[in-house]
Amino acid sequence: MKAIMNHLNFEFKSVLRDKTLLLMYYLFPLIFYFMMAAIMPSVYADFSKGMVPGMIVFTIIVSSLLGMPNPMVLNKEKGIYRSYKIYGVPLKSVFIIPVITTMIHITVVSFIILVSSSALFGAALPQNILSFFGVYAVVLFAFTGLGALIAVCSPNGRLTVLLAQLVFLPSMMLGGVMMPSSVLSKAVQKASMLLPTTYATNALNAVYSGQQALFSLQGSLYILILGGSIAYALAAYLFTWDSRSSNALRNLGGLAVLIPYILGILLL
Amino acid sequence: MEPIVQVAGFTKVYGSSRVVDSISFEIFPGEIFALLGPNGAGKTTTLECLEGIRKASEGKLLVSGLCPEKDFQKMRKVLGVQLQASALPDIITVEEAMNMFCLYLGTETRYDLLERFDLKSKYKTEFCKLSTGQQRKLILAISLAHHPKLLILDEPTAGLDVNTRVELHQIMREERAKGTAILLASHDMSEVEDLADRVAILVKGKIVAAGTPNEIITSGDSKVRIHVKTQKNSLFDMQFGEMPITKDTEGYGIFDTEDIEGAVSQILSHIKSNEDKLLDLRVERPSLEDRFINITRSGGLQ
Repeated sequence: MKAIMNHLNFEFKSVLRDKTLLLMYYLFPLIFYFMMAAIMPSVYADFSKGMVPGMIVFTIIVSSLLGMPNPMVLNKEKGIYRSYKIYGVPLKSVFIIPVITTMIHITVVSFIILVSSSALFGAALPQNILSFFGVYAVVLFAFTGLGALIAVCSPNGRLTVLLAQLVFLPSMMLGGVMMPSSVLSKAVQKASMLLPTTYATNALNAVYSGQQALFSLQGSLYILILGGSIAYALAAYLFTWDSRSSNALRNLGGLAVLIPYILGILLL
Repeated sequence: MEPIVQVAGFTKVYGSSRVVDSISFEIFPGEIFALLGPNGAGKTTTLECLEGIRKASEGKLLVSGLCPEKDFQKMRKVLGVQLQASALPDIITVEEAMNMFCLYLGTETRYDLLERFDLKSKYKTEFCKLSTGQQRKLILAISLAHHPKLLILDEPTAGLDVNTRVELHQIMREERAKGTAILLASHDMSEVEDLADRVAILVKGKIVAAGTPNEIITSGDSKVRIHVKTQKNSLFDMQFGEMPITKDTEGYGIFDTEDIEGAVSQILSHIKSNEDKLLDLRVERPSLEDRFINITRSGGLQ
C-alpha cells in the first residue's frame, strides 16, 4: 500500500511538473472557462444557465481524452511500462494510478469552476449538491474509462491525438457543451447520442438546474455507467506492457465501447 | 553447487521463425556468463524469456528454481535487470526513482547504492537531465537494490565513455565477488574477454560455441600472428618455406604460424645472415573478437 501511495504521489506531482500536462489539466480548461464566461453571455443570453455543467464536462473531456492518454501511450512506446513490469510494479498500479490522479486534477479544476462561477459570474449553485456530485462521479467514471481505453488501443502518440479528437470535436459542437442540445434539429440530436458527452451534459444540466432533462436522466446515467464499465473492462483486457506486444486487430475490439451509446440512440 | 539459472531445450518461435532453437546452459552463483551473437541471433529474446516478459515456446527455464512465466512476481525478488534500453519517466528524480522501486521491491531505499554510484549530488535531478552514464548507473543501482541472486545486463556499457565503462566493470566484479550471478549480453568483445567466466555464442538461435573465453579462443585454428620490422626490409626478399609473408602499410612483415619458436628463430637467423637490423617484433595471439568473427562468418560451422 505504501508503494502505491508513493507512486500516486509521484504521478500527481508529474502533472504539475510537466508543462504540457499542466496546460491540458489546468490552463486550457480554466482559460477556456474564463473566456467563455466573459464572452458568451453577450452572444447567447441563456449561456450562463448551462455554463457550469458545460464547462465541467469540457474539463472532464479535455483532461480525460486529451491529457491522460498521451503520457500513457508514451510510457508504452518508450518502454517505461516494460521497466515498471521488470522492477515489480503491478498492473493495477500502472493502470489505475494515472486514472486516479486524473480524477483528482479534474475535481480540483471543477471545484474552481463551481466556486468562481458563482462568485465572479453570478451563476447559481447546484439545486441538489449531493445529486450533482453523484452525477459528476458517473460522468468522470465514463470519460476516464474512455481515456484509458484510447491509451490502451492507441499504438502511438499521433493516433492517440486523432482518436481523442474524434470524440472531442463532435462533443464540443453537438454534445451540449457550447450550446444546449435542444437548439439542434431532431436528427442531429439523435446522432449526437453516439457521444457520451450528450448524456453527460443532459444529466449534469438536469441535476444542476433542477429542471426536467432533455431526455431520460436515469437512462443517461445507466448508459454512462455501462459505457464506463465496458471501457474499463476492455482497457484492462487489451492492456499491453509495451507497444511491441500490441495487436492492432485485437485493439479494434475497443469499438465495443460504442454499444451502450448505440443502445441509447435506440432506446432513449 | 546449485545453478541459479537452468535453461534446457529452450525454444522461441515467432510465427514460422525459430528465433531461439533448443538451447541449453546453466549459470552458477558468483559467475559472469556472457551471451554473444550477431544482431538477431536471439540474445535479447533469451534474456526477455528469462526475465519473464516473454513466454518460451518450448523447453525449461528456471531462475533460482522459479519459472519466469508462472512465478513472475516472486521472481522479482531474486532478479535484477538492466535492459538494453531501460527507461524511466523523464521527470522522475534520482531519489524518487530509487524510493519508488525499492518500495515495490519491498526493500528500504538504498541511498548507499546511489552514493556508491556517484549519484549523491544528483538526488533531485530528473532522469532526462542525467547523462547516459548516470542513467545507466541509476538503473543498475535500482537493479541491485534488493540484493538479487541473478543480474541480467543487456549491453550495459554501450555508448558509455571509457571511465564510466571501467567503473561499471568494477561494479560487476564486486557483485560477482558477493556471489551474484551475472548474465551479460554484449557486443563488446574486449569487455566479455576481460569480465566473463564463461561464454556462449549464439548464431541463428543456436549455441555454436561455449566455454571459457580462453577455450573459445583456442578452439579454432591455433595460429599466432608475428609482426616484424627491420631496417633494410630484407624479409620481403626471401621465402620462408610454407610460412607466407604479407606487408602492412607501416612496412611490417606479417607471418601467420602455429610454430612461434621455429618462426622466430627462422626470422632472426635470416636477419642476421642478411646483415639487416631488427627494429620491432611482436607476437599477437588471436582475440575473442577474431574467434567470434570466424565463428559468426562461417554461420557457426567451425
